[in-house]
Amino acid sequence: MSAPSRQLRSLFRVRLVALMVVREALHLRILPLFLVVALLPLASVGWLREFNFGTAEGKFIVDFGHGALGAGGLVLAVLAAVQLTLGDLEGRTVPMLLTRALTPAEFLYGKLIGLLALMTWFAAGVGGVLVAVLGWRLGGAAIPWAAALGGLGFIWLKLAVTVALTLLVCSYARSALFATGAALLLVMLAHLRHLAGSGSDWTHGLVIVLPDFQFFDPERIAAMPAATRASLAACSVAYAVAYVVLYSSLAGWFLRRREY
Amino acid sequence: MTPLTASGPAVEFASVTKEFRSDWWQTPVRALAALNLQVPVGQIFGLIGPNGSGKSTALKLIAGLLRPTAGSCRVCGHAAGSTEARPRIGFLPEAPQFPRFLTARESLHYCGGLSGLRGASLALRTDDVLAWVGLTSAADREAGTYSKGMAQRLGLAQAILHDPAVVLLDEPASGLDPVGVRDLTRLLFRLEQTGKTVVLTSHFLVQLEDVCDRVALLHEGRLLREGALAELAGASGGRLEQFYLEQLGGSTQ
Repeated sequence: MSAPSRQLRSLFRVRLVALMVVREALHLRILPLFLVVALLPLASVGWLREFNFGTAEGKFIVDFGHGALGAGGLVLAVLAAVQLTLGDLEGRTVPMLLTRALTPAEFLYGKLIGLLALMTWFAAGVGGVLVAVLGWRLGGAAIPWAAALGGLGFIWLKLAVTVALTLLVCSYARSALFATGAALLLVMLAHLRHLAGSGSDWTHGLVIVLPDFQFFDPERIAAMPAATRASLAACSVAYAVAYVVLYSSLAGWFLRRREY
Repeated sequence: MTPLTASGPAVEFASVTKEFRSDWWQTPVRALAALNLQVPVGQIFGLIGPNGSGKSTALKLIAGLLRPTAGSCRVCGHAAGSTEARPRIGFLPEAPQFPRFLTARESLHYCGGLSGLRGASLALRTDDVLAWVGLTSAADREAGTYSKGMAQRLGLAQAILHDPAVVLLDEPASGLDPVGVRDLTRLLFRLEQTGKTVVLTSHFLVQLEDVCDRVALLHEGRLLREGALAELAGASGGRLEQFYLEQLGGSTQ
């Protein structure tokens, strides 16, 4: 039997780190906590007697679900990425990991994939409850499946970019307080970036380093003509991938230069 | 087994200087100053010196966890920290820590997997090293429940798990009970007999007398003396501690 190729061995190490991320998250009870925090407002929809907010009940529930996933997910993405990455970097486990065949890049991609798996579970959990609540409240009426599940997908993309952004901050940070504060600040700025406009002054170059989270706003996508939604979705995926690659590359650069 | 690829020394410092500066506006602190040192293959090499003399910094430079400010450090002929050098070393940090939720066996499987070990060979090797460090009976307990000495034993186990050519041990006897120290001594001899190179730091000079072939004495980042243990200690009545005090007694007052 031939020895596995260098790439396969590298992938195996990435997989090991990713699995350890998921395992540690379960041990730390991160996922159940945030799932409860996100699901409580969504579940409470059923007990709200009035849905007279100027929109149909189905749309209100979908918006509520997206809000729960967006808010809970962003907090989860930042806190979990800081806890599960900086804990290794500033703790004493990394000296025993990075003195092996594992490279800083493999360590980073393992963390990224593990955290994306957590985000996927989280989104799937919220999505499952959202569908259940829609079915319960609307019964046989038309359920806005495309808006509900499509929106979840866009929010997942935003969470993926947030995870990569937080990993970048962690690769530089020396304390959990700094990493959490800086990541949350950047996430907030990313939500406000669309206000910066598209002027050609020198600040635009700085602003472009941050993603515009409006790109992943389900409301914005839903407002578009049906014919353009597919291409817009593809653009959003490409936009998210570009920022994940950019932030991962920068994080890898910082990690290679970091001393332990 | 990870082979040595060069016929030269196992570890080589060539004019290595290491300075630390936490922020760019701060004055750098020099931990090592133009260190020239060679560790021969297959020997147990002790780094001794007072606190802050640069022993741990030297080990971390070999492990690739730190980079020299000037000069170069090579392991088995490869630049320290390179893809070629890292699989050839096993490193025990001063205070090893493991994921608290993993058992000792699981921790070793994780470390072994990252070193390229798989399946039955990993399971067999894990059992062997657990027995060598005296952790067989506690192998399936979570590492978070371990005492300091047990964590140290587990740290030793992960350092030798992948059969590295060069084993780096930073204060390996720290936290060990007398039986643990005896087991450590046996383990060091076992490593030497199998052709491994061991570089260790320790303040337990009596223990070093029993195991080391050569010793280097560092002080304030500089190499004061280096040579065969018998040669250095011989001039001080055969006692390493006496040699140490003679060399540093005045400067450590």
